[in-house]
Amino acid sequence: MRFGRRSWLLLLVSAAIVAGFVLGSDLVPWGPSDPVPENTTSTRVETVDFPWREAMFYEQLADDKVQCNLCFRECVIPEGERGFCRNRENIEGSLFSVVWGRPSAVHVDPIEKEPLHQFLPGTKIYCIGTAGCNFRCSFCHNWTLSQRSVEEIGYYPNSTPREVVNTVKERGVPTISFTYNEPTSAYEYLYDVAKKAQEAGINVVFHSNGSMSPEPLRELLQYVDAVTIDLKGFTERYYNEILGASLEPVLETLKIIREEGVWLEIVNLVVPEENDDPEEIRAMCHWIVENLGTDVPLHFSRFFPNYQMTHAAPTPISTLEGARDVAKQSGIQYVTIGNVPGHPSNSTECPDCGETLIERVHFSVHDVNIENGQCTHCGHEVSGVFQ
Amino acid sequence: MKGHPAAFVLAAAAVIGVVGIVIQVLLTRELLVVFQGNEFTIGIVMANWLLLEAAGALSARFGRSSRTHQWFLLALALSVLSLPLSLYLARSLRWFLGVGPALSLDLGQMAVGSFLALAPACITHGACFTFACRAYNRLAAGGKELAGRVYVWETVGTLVGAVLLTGVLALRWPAFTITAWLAATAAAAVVLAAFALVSTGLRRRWLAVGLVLLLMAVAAVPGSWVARLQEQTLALHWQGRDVLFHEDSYYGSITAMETREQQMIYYDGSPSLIIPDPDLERLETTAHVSLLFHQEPRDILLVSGGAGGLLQEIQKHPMDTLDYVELDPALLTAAARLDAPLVRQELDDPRLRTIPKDGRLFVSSTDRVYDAVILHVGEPSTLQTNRLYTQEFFSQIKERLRPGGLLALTLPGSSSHLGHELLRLNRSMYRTLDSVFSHVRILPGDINVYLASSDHGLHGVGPDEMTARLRERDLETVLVTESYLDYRLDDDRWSRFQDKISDVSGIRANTDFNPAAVYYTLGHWGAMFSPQLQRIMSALDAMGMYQWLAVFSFLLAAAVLWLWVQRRGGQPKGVQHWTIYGAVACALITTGMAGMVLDLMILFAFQSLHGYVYQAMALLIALFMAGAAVGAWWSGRTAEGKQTIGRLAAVDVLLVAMLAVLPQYLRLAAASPVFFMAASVAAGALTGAQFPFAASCLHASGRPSAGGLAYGLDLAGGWAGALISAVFLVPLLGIAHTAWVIAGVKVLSSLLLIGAAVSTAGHFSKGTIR
Repeated sequence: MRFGRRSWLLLLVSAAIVAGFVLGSDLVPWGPSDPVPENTTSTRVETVDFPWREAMFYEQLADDKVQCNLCFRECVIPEGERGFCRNRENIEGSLFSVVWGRPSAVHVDPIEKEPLHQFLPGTKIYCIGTAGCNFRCSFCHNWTLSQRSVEEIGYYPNSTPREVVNTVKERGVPTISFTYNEPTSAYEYLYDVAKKAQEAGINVVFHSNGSMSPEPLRELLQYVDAVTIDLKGFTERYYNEILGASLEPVLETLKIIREEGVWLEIVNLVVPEENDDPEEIRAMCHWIVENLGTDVPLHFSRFFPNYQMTHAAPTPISTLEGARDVAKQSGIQYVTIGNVPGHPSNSTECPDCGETLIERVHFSVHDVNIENGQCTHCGHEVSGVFQ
Repeated sequence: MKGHPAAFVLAAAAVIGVVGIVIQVLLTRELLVVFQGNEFTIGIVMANWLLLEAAGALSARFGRSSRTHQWFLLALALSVLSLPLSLYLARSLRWFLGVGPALSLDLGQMAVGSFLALAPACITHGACFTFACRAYNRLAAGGKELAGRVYVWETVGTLVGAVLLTGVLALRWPAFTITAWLAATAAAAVVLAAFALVSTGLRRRWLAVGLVLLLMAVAAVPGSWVARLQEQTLALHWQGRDVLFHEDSYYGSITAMETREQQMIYYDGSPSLIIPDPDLERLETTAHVSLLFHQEPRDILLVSGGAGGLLQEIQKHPMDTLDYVELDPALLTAAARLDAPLVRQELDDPRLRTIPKDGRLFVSSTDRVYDAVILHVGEPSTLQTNRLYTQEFFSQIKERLRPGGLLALTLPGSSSHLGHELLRLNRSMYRTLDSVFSHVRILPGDINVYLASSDHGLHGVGPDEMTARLRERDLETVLVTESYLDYRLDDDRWSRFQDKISDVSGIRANTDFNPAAVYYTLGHWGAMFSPQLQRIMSALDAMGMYQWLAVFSFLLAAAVLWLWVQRRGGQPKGVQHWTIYGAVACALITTGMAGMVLDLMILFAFQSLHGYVYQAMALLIALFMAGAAVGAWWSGRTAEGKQTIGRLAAVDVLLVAMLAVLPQYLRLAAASPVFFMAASVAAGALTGAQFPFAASCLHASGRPSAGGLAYGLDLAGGWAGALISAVFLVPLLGIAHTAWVIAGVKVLSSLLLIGAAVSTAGHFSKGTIR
């Protein structure tokens, strides 16, 4: 086969036409699209333009390593690295919180969303969430916060504890809540905000997975008014396999909160075929009664597919009702069901006369039948904080 | 009788084609039920399929040629056993991987799992083809390379299989029953081949093997063990859950489960319907938050996802008609089969008209007008679903709205923090809606509600007005109450989300030919399951056209330079062999890619413009295969015994032209399905035509088992096309630009072919290089 000049010319012209199509079309998006933030989970941060708070509850080790003692993991962190929660970094042998003053989610929500049902029902809370978490729950509703570092998701500026408290006062919201992700991983921020808030007469609550170590927990509880703890299951297997964590520290946390006299409510997300065994729930309820008392409100929440558990079935209502019945049979006085809008057990009943104390549909409070801390029907002393 | 044994080989090749296409579709469907069916998982399955076929085809090139016929019989016999084995592995994959039914599989598990499940069927299938080529060459070629004839017959078999899928099989039979039929067909081929190919001594042995396999397969079809395998694999997949029934429709796989009083329907492995207690927050938000924005919606259209509660919520509004379009009627039949009061009530409503049709096709063909159109389709994670979220479809909907009418759709959101990837998806949707409708309003939440209208002042509607309408219509709602509406429409609460979503700088609108929403949805999926994938996609996204053009220009310059060197000719024979081999290999790989992209382009454009109709899709695929068979037949006749690298280069150039111009014509040919049919045949013909030319050239360059080598390289190209084009390039660049990128790659391969032709000019004679 011979290729003459004419063939060459034809070939080059064809190639030029094709190239011209590509170059000349106005459909071609010239230039790069909007820049994508770099994914930098748990690596050294270059931008240090914000004052970092030195961490509390850590100890220095040899070779510039540190051990964080904030939660059960007790991470040993080499210089330049971060702990499991992604929020505490070792800089030249000292540990710093990288999320202090850097919240990534700030909203005003109904307090029932915590859920906190017997602490100032019907009021609002100023909710703060940061990046990071020390658990790895495969169904996390707020995984975009909890499973990311602050560099990946950004944060709101002007959020020092003083600024937060001033904003809350201006907006007239009675309570600040650290929620969405695990506040243990933002301990110092929560601690400093709580202290300032107490000085200003603002309530502070937080929603936690209960993994905080005893010493920092007791230190924090001095400035906190209420806590919601996720008691996600009652077996080490569930905590290990599904949550990447441990049960024992959570049980310890529950006891300490009770000892310190801070208002406590417990949430259990019932996941079908994972933690819905009635005997397991019974064991959990008995433990609560024996160790915490009968007046700690317990909320059973319906699970819906989320995050990495998108193939799971939602919790059958009868499973939740069965759990509620087991809890009541065990002696727990205040049991509700959540994530089932319109279910009668959205509301809180009086453990004495059975009448509705707080009528609730999902997060909306429709009626409160409590006066001076007593049931308006029978006068029973209702546990909780209502003023 | 020299011709008869060779004819049996060609018949066996046709059987290989039939078996191949049917088992491919069957296994792909089963694996997509196990995985989450998005564009990336489809790409992984296709890529693994082609890779394993290529491995089988290439490895079968070796081995003593004196035993070729026995190897061929062995491969056919193994394929009989491999079909049910692959199906068993695919259906019980979760159990083998140790992953429960609740957890989604991550990228590594999908890749490894699909690789292992497909391996038995794919490797044996690929090997069968190569052995068929070798056997045929021994019997009929007389030293020539006649793999083209085998390819033609294999393609004819594929065509027959595609036709069977549209009619007789249609995937409605149980999977193991279909597999038993395929195994029986393959076993029959073993029996026939044993008669034709082996000597008397071995014949009895192979006949016995073939007959035993045939009897087993035939006995299996009506037999109880097929049903037992079906039940067993279902149980392994769902691991202890109570399965009420399972059926396969034209469009998907339906499984009904029961846990206590709760019944669920899974469609293609994902939860679709929950009764008697559905997700009320989702349903009430979708139905009421949107319809309360309209003063008086009398005629409503719902596209998809209605059964199981959403219909019931919509029906609470006083209305005249409710048209409900659902692509798969089997889903409604399955819902009705659950015999739940909720479903009975909503389907029995006299105002309801159920239309079993593709939503896009319905909207483009109806002359009815509506006050409100609600889309409840699911995330745009596949090119198929994405068609219902594009500018073009929104424009069609706009034509169907009365004055003051509105469109409502939902996307995943968050009440706490909208992640970067999900934010981009939402921005793209906002931008797309904004490009069609003059008024767009977002109501952020855990479910983002989008409302769009041409003439309805959506921003003027507040919670008081909506509460008043709630009361006027006397709606019995649980969640959507006055306080909920106050919360949901509180601008202070949601303004940050609204501002972020409406900031669309740098975000692409979603169109039929530029499926940006698929890209963003895959990014969101990557953020959940595969941060590495998400980083790759981010890096590709950051690459502008400058970078793409720079890469292309560099490669073009290298190819032209190499071409300039080749024009002198006169290289040693060994170098010429490698020159030919390299150029032809590149041509085959890039043609495999091009064929995949052309097929995808035609199918996808047809779906976008004419709707998703199972039979039409199957017809287009069959026409592509028919074209490939014709193209291969024609080129096989002209390639035999002659130096064909020039003709190979000519086909390459025609493919370049087709890739460059077809996207523009597809856009213009909106009215004509005939054009799509013709394009399918033409694309198939060009793709198929290269094979005999390529095999002949490889043979001339001294490659052993050229047919198998060519087949393997073609499959490798298809693998690259499936993975790179369908998963990355089409969502990232759009169809037209993807075709141009592949056209650019084909230009490079054309130059290599021309260079090889020039360098070996005058040195080919009688099928070899002198």
